[in-house]
Amino acid sequence: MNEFLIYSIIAGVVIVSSLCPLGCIVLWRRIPYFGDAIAHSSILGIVLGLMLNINITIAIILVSMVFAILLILLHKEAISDILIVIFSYGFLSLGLFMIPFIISNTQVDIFSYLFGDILLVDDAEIKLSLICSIFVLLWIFFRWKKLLLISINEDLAVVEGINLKRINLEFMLITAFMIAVSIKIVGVMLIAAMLIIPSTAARNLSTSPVQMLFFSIAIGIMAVSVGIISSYMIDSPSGPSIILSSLMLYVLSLIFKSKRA
Amino acid sequence: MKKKLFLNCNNISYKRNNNFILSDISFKLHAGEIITIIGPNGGGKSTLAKLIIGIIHPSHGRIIKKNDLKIGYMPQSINLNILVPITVKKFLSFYGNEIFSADNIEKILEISSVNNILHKQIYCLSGGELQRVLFARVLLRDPELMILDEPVQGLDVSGQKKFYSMIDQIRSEFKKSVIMISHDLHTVMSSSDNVMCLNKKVHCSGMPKEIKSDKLYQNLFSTAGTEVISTYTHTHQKK
Repeated sequence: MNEFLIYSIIAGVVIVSSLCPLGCIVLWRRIPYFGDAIAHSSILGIVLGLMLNINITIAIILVSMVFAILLILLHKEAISDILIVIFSYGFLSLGLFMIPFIISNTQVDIFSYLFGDILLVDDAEIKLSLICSIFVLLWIFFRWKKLLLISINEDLAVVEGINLKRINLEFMLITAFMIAVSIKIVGVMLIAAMLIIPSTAARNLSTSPVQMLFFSIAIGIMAVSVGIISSYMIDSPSGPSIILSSLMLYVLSLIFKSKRA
Repeated sequence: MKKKLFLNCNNISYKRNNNFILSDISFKLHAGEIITIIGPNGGGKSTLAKLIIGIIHPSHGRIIKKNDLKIGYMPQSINLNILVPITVKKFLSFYGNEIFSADNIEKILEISSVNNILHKQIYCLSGGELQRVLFARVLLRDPELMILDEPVQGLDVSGQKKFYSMIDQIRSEFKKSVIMISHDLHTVMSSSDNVMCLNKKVHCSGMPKEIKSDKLYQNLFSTAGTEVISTYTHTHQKK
């Protein structure tokens, strides 16, 4: 097999290993729009990165973090869908508004950020993804019971001594960070799908939260592998190819679920 | 012997958007006591529970709790997310196991009648089953004070009787203090040490029998002069 292909699949596998478990938590917390919102806000990060001539991944991470912190600061009791949508489109519009000012002095292909291109991922970014993924998995491990209880009922969690605000902040920052790191592979437009589809498919197959986490990783890895190989073979953009693969796996999970029922 | 003071609510008020949800609420709770708070929907009962737990904080006044008072809370309703696949057993195992001995765990599961549904997914439970599971979870935490928000909501009369009998049993066997909240103005446990009628402020309070004949209570909550309150008494049949 082509060495480059293996290299790309490794990058994808590293990312989905932490992105899919985060997706499970996003589903449990009932904030499916959050992934989309962070992705939209990252357009502003890309534009600012190009304008200020700084590393684009770092710019995306910074803007996503600011987005997550604003959401937490402005909403006191819980994460609000309405605030997520307002800020998401605010950041997106600001980014799009600024594009004409940078378009003349840049050679960067914005299309590849929108729909993902594994060709853009370099060695340093794979190492960064690996470190981030290990960190995210460790965070989930240490916060597991708290995350689960908050997902079931926030009031119960608070009375049992869980600092809801702190866990929410950590969760949003980590998810924003991981989405920002993953954008080059899956793309701004489709990253939320990668967060939600494998975890929803995993839900159809699972009877326990741990099982759901592992199934989501397995489905994510299959989707990335099939997506990248097909993208290489037919020269399609990597993002849509990965998402279409995960969609097929989701349909299979639905069939499995209906047969089991 | 003087009972230990667990909770002292001193003139507490709570405002939201410049509207008083609660005003000037004062009461004390001692070890082993049961307080029943009754009142219409929107009267501020759940808000009071949240203030005591510490989820929200009073706008005025103070809530003084015994140092390290361990509170168990059974919420009014939990909005179950069917996307979290979790069994009753797993849901109950988050805390209790570390606190109770194996004997007590068995006993609590038996008292709350959840041992036959341990392997069910929580989102598949009926209303009554869910109430029992939430109650078992509160007990497994071994709290000194249990706050039960509308614990018999959604239960039929026989389910309510079973639940009140469970509370009586828990009180006699585990010596817990209980704050029970109900919007059902007609049934109050006779074993309550104090009944508080709450509608944004405390309108009247006292023993269940006293409340029954309290004019303020009747004016506030009665409909056409019929008996407005009945008490549930738990009795053991003699063999």
